Amino acid sequence: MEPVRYDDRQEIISLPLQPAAARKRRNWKKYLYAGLLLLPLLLFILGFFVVPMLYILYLSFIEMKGETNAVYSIGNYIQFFTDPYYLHSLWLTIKVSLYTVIVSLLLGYPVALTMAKCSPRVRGLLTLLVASPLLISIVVRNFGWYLLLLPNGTIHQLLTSLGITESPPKLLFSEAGVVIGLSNAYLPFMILSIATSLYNIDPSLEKAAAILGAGPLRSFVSITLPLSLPGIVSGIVLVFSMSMSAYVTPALMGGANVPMLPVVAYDQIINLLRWTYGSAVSYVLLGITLAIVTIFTRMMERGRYREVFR
Amino acid sequence: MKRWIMIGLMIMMAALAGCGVPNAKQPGEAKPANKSSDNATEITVAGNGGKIEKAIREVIAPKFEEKYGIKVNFVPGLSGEILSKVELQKNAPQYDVAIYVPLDVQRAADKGLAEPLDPSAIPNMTKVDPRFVAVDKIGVPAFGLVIAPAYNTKTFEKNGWKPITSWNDLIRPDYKGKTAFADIANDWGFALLYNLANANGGSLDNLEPGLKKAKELASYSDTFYKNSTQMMPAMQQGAADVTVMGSYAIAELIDSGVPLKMVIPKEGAPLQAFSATVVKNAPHKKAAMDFINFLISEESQKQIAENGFYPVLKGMKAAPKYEKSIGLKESDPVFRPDFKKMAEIREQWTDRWAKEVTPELGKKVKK
Repeated sequence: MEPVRYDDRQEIISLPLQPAAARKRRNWKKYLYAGLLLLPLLLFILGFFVVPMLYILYLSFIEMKGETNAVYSIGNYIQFFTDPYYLHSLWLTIKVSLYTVIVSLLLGYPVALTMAKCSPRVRGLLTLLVASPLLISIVVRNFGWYLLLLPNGTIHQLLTSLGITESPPKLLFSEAGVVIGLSNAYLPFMILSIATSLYNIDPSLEKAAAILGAGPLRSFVSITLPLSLPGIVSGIVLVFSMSMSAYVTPALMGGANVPMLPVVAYDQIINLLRWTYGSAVSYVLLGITLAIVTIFTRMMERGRYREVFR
Repeated sequence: MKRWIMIGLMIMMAALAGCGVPNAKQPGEAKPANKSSDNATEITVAGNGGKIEKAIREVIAPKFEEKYGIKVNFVPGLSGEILSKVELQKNAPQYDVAIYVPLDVQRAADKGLAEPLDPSAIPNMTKVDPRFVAVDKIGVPAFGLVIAPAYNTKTFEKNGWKPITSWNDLIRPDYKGKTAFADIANDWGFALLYNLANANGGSLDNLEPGLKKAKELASYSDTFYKNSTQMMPAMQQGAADVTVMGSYAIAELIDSGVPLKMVIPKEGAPLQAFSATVVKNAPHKKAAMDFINFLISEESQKQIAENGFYPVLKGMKAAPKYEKSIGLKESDPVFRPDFKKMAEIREQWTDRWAKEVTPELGKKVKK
């Protein structure tokens, strides 16, 4: 008797023979389940995020002429882009956010690198340490910084009593102070996103580099750094957009000297009750942040190291 | 893909339509709630956090509940924040009583966000000292104060600086970088502006001289404080020796051992009070009025005085323990500012301050 031979050609031929309608139905069901699972979140976002945001967008196109007379116009936006005060405030916001990104990248990368290289036990401990500031409210943390940096405060007294300097540099109520506060607040986000992408680097790549004669520096520049770019980019995007929209830190650490846009928008709405203008300021801030972030990520994804982002 | 975009757009349209509808409906809905006001079991009071919150939560609310059987929920916030919340909720008010600074009482009145008050429903109103009233029959003054300069006597003696007797004395190179003034958005900051104007031939009608002086003041200051609670540690740690604050805050600092002296300058200092209003269409109007009446009873005012405020009833004085630090003499030139005028001009001068005075900050501090 001829042994039954498994004919793999047959299976290959039979695959496309599966009825197309059944496949379609299965796909449709998949979408339905996914939709049902996402529904609570979608409703939540719609109700508590999309609707208020649209309402603020609507407000921003209303111009108040006197106390009661409201007209639809783009007057609020024109006012923003023609008044040097607000343009300066916008530039200040971007500048401070960029400094914050640079500081937290420089401080964060070595920490992330250490986390990637050390034993799992130490890594767990480091992760806990890095994330622990997030357990404390940002208001409390910034108030702590404020007390430390006050003239006659702890840092001032420490510097003068050690004889390092008689008049320490002015950190409070300056851009430097705001950058200190913001980098302190957002550093964990930078570290954790860089560390995640470092964990994913195949260790054999470094071995291969070493075999081919690359020293540690060369191996870092040519392999580790490019492969960690996705983490760096997401860290930068996170820290930049959070700094752009930060209110507490500029208000506490900058006083009246650093009028960043969120503070300006708050003042317009809460202190002057100019809802419509404050809404326009918020949307300008949102638009500019989105634009910068989009251009930046596009540039990275299409640049020299685009392969890394695939 | 196109279909999903269409669906997304439709959801957005629905959401936009949703924005308008509740607003249109709610005035009708709010009415039945008013009817049930007579048998209220609790009311919501919004007011300044800190000292006012402490006085109401710890002393006044428990006694009010004991007497009327109505529980008081207190929501702390800055006066301006409370006003903007009241404005947002005007179609479905959540608060019954809102306690504002006088300027915001005026703004609430102008925007129709406060109920007119009937003196027969609040009999204690007749006993109130009229100097504290911001807007008659709208806001009932409850927590009295002056906004005045104060300085650290110890540092002044040590350096041989002349005591402060005028608003203009706040501007001296001696204490450059050692000042704590609030930003214009804060009541204390605005008071600084119009009192500098008063002291230099201006008035609320013409703040120009005040603005000019304020630029000089800014050049000797490190910053203007966005958040007035930050000014307290600055004075306590000796980071600043000169300030302008509400008398209750000065009293608190003196209580905590800071050697401060409050000054009523020769040009005068504004006397005013945090004032209680009944929110327009409040859910429990009658209970709200009962609460306000209780707030200005002699019994409550005694407690309020113990917390560092001036009692607002005729013939009553600061609590004995505060007599020395913030007590007012007959001869002190305190005055009641024109809050109506102030509400009109505030926006314009806030803008000018931000654009003209703030950039001068710290210019002469380093030299």
